[in-house]
Amino acid sequence: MNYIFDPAAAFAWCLEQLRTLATLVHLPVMAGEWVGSFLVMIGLFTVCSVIVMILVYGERKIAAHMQSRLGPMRVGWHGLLQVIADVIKLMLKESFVPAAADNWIFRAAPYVVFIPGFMALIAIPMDRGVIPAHVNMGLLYILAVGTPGVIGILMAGWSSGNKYSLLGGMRSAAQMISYEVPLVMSVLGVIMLAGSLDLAAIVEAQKVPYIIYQPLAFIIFLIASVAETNRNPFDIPEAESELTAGFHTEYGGVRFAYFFLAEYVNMFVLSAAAVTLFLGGWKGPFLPGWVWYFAKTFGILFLFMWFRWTFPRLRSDQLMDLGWKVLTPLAFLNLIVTGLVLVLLK
Amino acid sequence: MMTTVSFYLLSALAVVSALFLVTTRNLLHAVLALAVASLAVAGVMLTLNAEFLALVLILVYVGAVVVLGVFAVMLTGHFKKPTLPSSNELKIIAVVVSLALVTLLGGVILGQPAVTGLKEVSLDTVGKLLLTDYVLPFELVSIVLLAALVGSIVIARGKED
Repeated sequence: MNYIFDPAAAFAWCLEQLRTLATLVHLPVMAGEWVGSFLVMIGLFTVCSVIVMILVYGERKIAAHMQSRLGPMRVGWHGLLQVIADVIKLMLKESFVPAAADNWIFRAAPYVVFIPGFMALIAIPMDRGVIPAHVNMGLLYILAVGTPGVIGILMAGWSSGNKYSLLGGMRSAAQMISYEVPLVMSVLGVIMLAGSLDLAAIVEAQKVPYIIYQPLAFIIFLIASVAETNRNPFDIPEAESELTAGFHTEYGGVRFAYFFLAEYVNMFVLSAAAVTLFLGGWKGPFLPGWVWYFAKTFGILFLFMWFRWTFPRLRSDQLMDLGWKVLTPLAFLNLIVTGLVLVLLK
Repeated sequence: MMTTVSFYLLSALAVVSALFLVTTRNLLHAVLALAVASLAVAGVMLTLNAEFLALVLILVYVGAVVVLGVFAVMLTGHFKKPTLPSSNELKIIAVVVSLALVTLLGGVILGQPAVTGLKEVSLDTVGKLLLTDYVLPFELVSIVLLAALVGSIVIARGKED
């Protein structure tokens, strides 16, 4: 039984085992489903954390090599265990709440930022038949559940009781709302081509990756994704030189770790969405689907990191100009042209 | 069974957070309560098989309205101490308006025949209906939104000359 190359079967097998287990201990099937979903969530959370660790290590190494440094080298072989050491350090630190903070909102904010990204991740197909939660309107789902993250950032910024945090939170929210418009508009062309909102169906519909038909939409999506995740060159929400660390200035310990986790999970979700919508998802020759899925996604993530370490930061007004005066009109243009071509070809 | 339990739990959450929303003195807490209430209502819609409506509700209310609400609170200058004075000068009008609204909405809702076993409506159907039977209301809403957009720009620009 080689499950390495058939994740769909492995996934189904795991669920089946869980159901059998549930009936063995005389739980009703319904409870079995719930326990099953719960365990799937825990499994996903673990996968999520591992992915984030790889990304953090990758980011530090890539950054280092782009700047002719070595990066982490001391803990483990070439610093491989550095991230684990960092996580342990963060977990052992005191979870501090400033005196001026709005206690409950301050405590809740990191989770409000993290959970939407995680919820979006479960609807993205990793291989044929491997979707932790198959949602009919998958695309709308990932766009919708991703939105409450902004509120988490605003909560963090406001509840910290610190002007840097407040400014960072406001900038971040303004930026995320502005770039959500081109992000959503750029995706509409893909929906028109595929005729479905189901992410698995969109991947199946791609005889050739949609980046061929929708190159403009792909570029808009990529730029808007970088802005949505508040990363360089769109990182004025946490511009170190003027805002200390923006909305998470007052955070430390595990809560800070959650902000970190959220940033990388959101990056992964947007990259995975880009792969699913424009690059043919799990499809590819020779190798199994999930390998293609992860290879493509990490390819996009490498682009994210490349941007971060090579572009200078945009000014606030340049950022708004790019979003509203360049990307949004281009996305509308793309939509109109796609619609016209589809009607003419009919 | 599970759906029924979820339905009542989510409805209770929606009502409680809505009550908190109108009773709290802290404007930002009120806005966050609106987010919780919207999420709870979206959950209620999910238990009724209205997937599309639930997702759009999250996208519009939680993603846009609540965030704009936070901005509005910040712009009013209440963000340092976002508390409201404890009196409402328009008490009587407020009571009349809300009673009228409750009567109107309640009348419409109670006038509907009871529906059991709701079926999932596909997105295709929703889209086709919006562009055929309901095209007039749909376009009307766009014009209202456009007017609001133009109006807000005019207000925001102020008197330059």
